Amino acid sequence: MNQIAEATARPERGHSLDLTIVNNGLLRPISIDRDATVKSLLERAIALFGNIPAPHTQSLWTEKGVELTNEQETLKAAHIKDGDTLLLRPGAVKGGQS
Amino acid sequence: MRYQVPVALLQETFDVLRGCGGGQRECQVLWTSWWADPHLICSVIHPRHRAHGGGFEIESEWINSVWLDLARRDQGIRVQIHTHPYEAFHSAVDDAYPILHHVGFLSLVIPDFARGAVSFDRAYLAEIVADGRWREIAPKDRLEII
Repeated sequence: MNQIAEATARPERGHSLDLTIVNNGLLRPISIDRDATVKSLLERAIALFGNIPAPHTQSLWTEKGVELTNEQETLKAAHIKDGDTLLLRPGAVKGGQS
Repeated sequence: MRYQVPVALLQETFDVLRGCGGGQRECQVLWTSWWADPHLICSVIHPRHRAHGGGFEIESEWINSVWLDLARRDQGIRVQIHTHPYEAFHSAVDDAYPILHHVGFLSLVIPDFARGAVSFDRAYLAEIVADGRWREIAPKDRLEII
């Protein structure tokens, strides 16, 4: 493997983010590359909590209440930082007869 | 799972649903329990929401705040309870927009804006099953008043 190919294949140190995901009162740690997409983190977060048969209803939110809506965006581009806490929750909650 | 519901919390639930709805608007409350003792319902939460005669919607900001608060209190939501003006059933909106989508999560619908007896009489209980759909289940099979 030449030097360029080797550098591409080997992730750089310090690119991992240690995050906490919150869902219904439970906290779960997760480590993920900052260049991973929001979609990738969402899929891993849903898998952490299991038993969510309608994953399309879930999204990630910052503690300040900002929904990570662009699933193709990288975590770095979404300004997610090491140590952040993200909320896994439904986008809307409503009900009623009509 | 079968939850134990203290009669005082059931009374509080009806008081909130009646007081907030005023016999004219739907309302929702949530029952929580400690993660260390999930069977015993220990609190009634009244979400910030807007409502009308035929429905309600919880404020998005409130959901964020309660998610963090539950984590601080080491509690989880076990049952959502809301009123209908007349008959109790699970509507398409009820099916699609619950606060939790976990298998086993319960949704209790109380008829007549909760103006009837403080009980599960004529109430409708639904549970999320493995394929994500809701199925009706008898309240006595999941909820025990203590």
